[in-house]
Amino acid sequence: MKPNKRILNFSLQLLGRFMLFFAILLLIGFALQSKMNDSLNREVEKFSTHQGESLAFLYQNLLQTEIADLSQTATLIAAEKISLANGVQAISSQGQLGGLLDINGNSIWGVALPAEVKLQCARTLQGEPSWRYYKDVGLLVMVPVYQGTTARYVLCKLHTDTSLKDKSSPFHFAGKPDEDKILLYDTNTQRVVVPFENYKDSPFYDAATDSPLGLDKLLAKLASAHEAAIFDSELSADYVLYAAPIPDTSFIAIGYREWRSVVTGITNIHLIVLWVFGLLVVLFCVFILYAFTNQVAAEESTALREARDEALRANRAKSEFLANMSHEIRTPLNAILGMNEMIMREASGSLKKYAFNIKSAGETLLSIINDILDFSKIESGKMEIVPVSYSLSSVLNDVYNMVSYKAGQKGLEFTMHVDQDIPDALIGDEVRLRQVVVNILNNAVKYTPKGSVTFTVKASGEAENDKLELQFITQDTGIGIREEDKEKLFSKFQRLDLQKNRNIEGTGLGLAITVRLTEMMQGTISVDSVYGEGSTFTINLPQQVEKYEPIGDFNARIEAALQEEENYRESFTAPQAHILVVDDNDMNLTVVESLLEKTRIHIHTASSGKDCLQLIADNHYDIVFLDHMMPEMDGIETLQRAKNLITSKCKDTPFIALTANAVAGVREMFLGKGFTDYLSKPVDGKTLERVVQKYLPPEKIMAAGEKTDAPAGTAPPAAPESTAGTEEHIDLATALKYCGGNEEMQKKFLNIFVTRQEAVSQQLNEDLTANNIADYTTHVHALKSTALAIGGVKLSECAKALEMAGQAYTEGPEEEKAVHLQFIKDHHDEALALYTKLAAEAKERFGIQP
Amino acid sequence: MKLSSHDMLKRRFIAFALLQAFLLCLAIFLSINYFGSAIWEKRDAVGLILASPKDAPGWPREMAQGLQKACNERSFNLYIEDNVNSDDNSLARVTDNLVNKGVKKIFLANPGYQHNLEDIARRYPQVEFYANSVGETISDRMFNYSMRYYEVRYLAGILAGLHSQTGVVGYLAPFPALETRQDVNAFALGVLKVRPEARILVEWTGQWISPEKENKALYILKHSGADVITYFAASQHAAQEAASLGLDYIDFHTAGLNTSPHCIASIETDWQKVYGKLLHINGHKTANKVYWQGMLDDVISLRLSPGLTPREEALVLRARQELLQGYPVFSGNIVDREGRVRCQEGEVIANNSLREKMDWLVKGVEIIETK
Repeated sequence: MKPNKRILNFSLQLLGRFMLFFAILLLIGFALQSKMNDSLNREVEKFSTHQGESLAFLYQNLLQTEIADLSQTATLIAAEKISLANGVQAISSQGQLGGLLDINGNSIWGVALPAEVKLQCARTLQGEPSWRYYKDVGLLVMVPVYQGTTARYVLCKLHTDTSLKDKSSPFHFAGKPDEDKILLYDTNTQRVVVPFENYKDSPFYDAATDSPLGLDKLLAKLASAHEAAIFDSELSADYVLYAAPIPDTSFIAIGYREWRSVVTGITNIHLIVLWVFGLLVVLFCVFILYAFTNQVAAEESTALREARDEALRANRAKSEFLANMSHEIRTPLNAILGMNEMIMREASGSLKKYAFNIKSAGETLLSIINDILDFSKIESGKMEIVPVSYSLSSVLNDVYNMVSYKAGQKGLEFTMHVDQDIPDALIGDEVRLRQVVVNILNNAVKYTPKGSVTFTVKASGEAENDKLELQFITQDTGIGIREEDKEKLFSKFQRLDLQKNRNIEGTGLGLAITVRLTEMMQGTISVDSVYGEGSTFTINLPQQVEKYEPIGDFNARIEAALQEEENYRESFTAPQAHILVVDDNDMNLTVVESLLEKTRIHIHTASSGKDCLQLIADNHYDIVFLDHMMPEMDGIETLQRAKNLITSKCKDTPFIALTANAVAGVREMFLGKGFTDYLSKPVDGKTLERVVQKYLPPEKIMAAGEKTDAPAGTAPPAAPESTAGTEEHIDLATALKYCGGNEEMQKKFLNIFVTRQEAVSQQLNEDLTANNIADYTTHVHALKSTALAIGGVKLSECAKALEMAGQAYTEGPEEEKAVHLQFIKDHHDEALALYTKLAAEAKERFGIQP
Repeated sequence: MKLSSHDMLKRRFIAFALLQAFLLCLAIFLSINYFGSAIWEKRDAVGLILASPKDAPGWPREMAQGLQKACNERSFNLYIEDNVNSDDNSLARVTDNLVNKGVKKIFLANPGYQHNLEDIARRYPQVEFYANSVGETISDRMFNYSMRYYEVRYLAGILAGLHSQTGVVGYLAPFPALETRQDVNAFALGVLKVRPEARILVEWTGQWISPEKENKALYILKHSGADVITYFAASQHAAQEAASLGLDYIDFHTAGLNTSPHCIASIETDWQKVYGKLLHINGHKTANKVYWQGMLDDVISLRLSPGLTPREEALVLRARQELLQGYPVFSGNIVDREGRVRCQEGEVIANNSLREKMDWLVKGVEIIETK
């Protein structure tokens, strides 16, 4: 859906809902209004009925008073206290005519009346003193004149029509013009008996029926009620009609009252309610709008969240991509560096200089890639801090070795001050600690053109809970950092002062990684710098103390160590020591055996994990070297089984991993799996000896005595300059390196290598034919190491390529398998050919006879 | 075009939402409209207390039906309590019942409740009690209502006097009381008006309902020469017996005309009108406590059999016309059995006297003593 259409749709929906709510509210409002009007009118009517009631009461009293007066006169007449004539005279006055009738209603005295009064007379004689109205005559009241048990006369009094209309009539309630309009109506004759002033001219006279306004409705109501009141805008918009019958007569009193005067304050309530309702409607509208806005906002925030998630995903993907890329780049880079090493050995003059440049650039590239790898690990949260026991002095030692060399190269003075009281045995992440310190020091060296770099280590904080805070202070006399750049200093991919520093390599990741790592170790990092004069970086790292053994005079130890290094050439012997070497590759076994031959250590070998387990159950070994990649049971599994083996006699024996997988993090991996240490293949003699010396029980180590025939000099003896030109496959320098410079041993290796040619080739062929790529990979992996050990660099490279293809085949996605398999098939023969050539050359050059 | 399920769902949802909105509106509208209406719409209620079953033929049923119609006219609710014994205190109980139902007026159909009624009426000043009697207890606590039956008796007397061959007419009445004497006297005045020499034989049976005594009395009347009779009793038994004896009679019950050709006329009461007027009374306002309605109020009449002679019919109708024009029955020269003049020419017996003090019988009335 297009965004425009979507917005329109949404707005319409919103408007629709709003209108719906509004319509409902309006409906409720109208219902309420009409209901309230209704209620109000009912109240008005009710109030008015009371008005009518009291009006009727007034009339009733008036009429009864008249009757009482008349009855009194009648009593006087009956008692013959006064004569008939006087009695009649007594009740007569202006407009009120007295009279005397016989029992048949005939006039005897006084006023003459029409014949129709006979019925009223009969009624009166039946005991009902009564009022009647006669059209054009007037209002007539009668009372019987009792004489004992009988009655002979009826006394009557007539209010003439004209007197009734006069204002002075007692039936006229004198009222102000703005008060109620009141009239008396006779239901028998359907006439108005007593009208109010100007009745016929008022709006309350219904000329069409010659009756008061709204009479029919009032009468209809009166049929079922004692009083009636009507407020009907059809009749009169401003007046309330009310009526009440006068008891014991046929008259009703009718009144008209102004609506406003009845309701007075009630209308205010009405208005207030409507006003409040209006207010509520407004509030409700606001609320609805608010709710809708919220809904929109919620939808937007959902979109935002999705976008953020997307961004995070993308970022993670980027990190992963970077990690993968780095890993992928490292492999060929290793090859490049390796090849370059070859060039450097064989080249001379300017060519060598170029090669050296390649080496330098390559190493920089490698370190950059390592940085990226580390950083992407931190970013993706895969970086973990693994606290282990370590020796601070050893770390500082390494640091010194690495930095002093670089500083020396640059002509900088590097001094190190280590507080003598710092405990040596600490617990923390040794690897990361080292990385942090080295990074900072490298930076210092990098950005200091001349002068000195001073590294100070202090421990602050008391040894409470076995904790202390290490403080590493790096002071340099370098270029310094501008004040405004300090904030950017620790952000990733930021490099400062590019103009000035463009000749300095770096990704800009170094400090970022340092900061992250420091934070991960709960430490802090701060910088103090004067631009142009130098910077001081201070890192504080909390570490746990394992043992309170002061580190002592570190500088003296360095001196001693250097001395020791010098003396290392004096090798050692350990005739009582027993070690076990496990590798599926015979050649590797031979290499280790040969390398350690001089130490007179008893070496047992095993070619599989199974054999290894058998051996450690039978014998005790001081060290076990365990290859990682082995068919059936690999090194890690073997180690786990060995650790769980109850019958094992090597419970405390250090297990050292041998692996060709020398990528970053492998060390951690092996240590995590339970190995004591690890060695990367191909192993060189010096490293191997050092490791053996490190892990052998000291009592078994003896000084090497008069081993004077060991070749002196750090560099391997210069390889004889190649004479055969380009067709040489055996790199003697490499081979000698792996054989500790022992030519005899090199020849021995070469011999084994050549001897095994047929077996290995056959094995590989079989694997490929059987399509058993997993085994093929393992075997070709072995070939890679052995080839390198005898100096077959080319073959080793080729084997490595095959191994990687094999790995990709077994671990990679299904659809790429065919490609990898094809690669293996294409290059398999090449590898075998190289092997053959190597063997041929071995015969030719070194006179090896299988 | 076939709709996708999504559209169907959407439509259903919209329909549902509209329905909800509609129901909501309806609920709000109804609740506003009917809120508090109960106060205004409350109907007035009245009660009727009967001694006999309300469906029993005769007065009770006529009264109940008449009151029901009058109530329907005015949209009143009517609660009827029947079979109420006047001797124990069940009157108080049913009155409580009715008052609890919210009645404004209670009508008592039968005379004879008066004695208990005043105490009960005092307990409920807000309720108007209407006792069916004007003669005896008059209290400002309650209303009395009755019919001026004597007017119709007067007409009946005229008819009986005209119709009798023998000049002897019979009258069966339970006992000499105010109301029965009024009726007997009016009847006698009617007979004597058209037949001054006629004999009026009155027989007291002693009870409101007593078939045996009525049979016996009728037998005696017949053998005394009476050929036209009338009666005053709570049942129609006397009429049936008279018919079986071959006597013409004037029935005291409305349905009389349909039962036998011997019935020459019957007294009719328009209960609906009677009660209509009573229902219209505003008890709190009126000063009048006694409602004694008669022919002037058009609530009672004498219905004549179609088999009468033209003379009989004409004279009866003329007399009725006179009454309707205001002629008082008890007027002119009236002498009682003892020879005392009760009323002179040009006079009328006063209403109070008529209602409360009629302790005499008109000259010409013969009382037949039975043993």
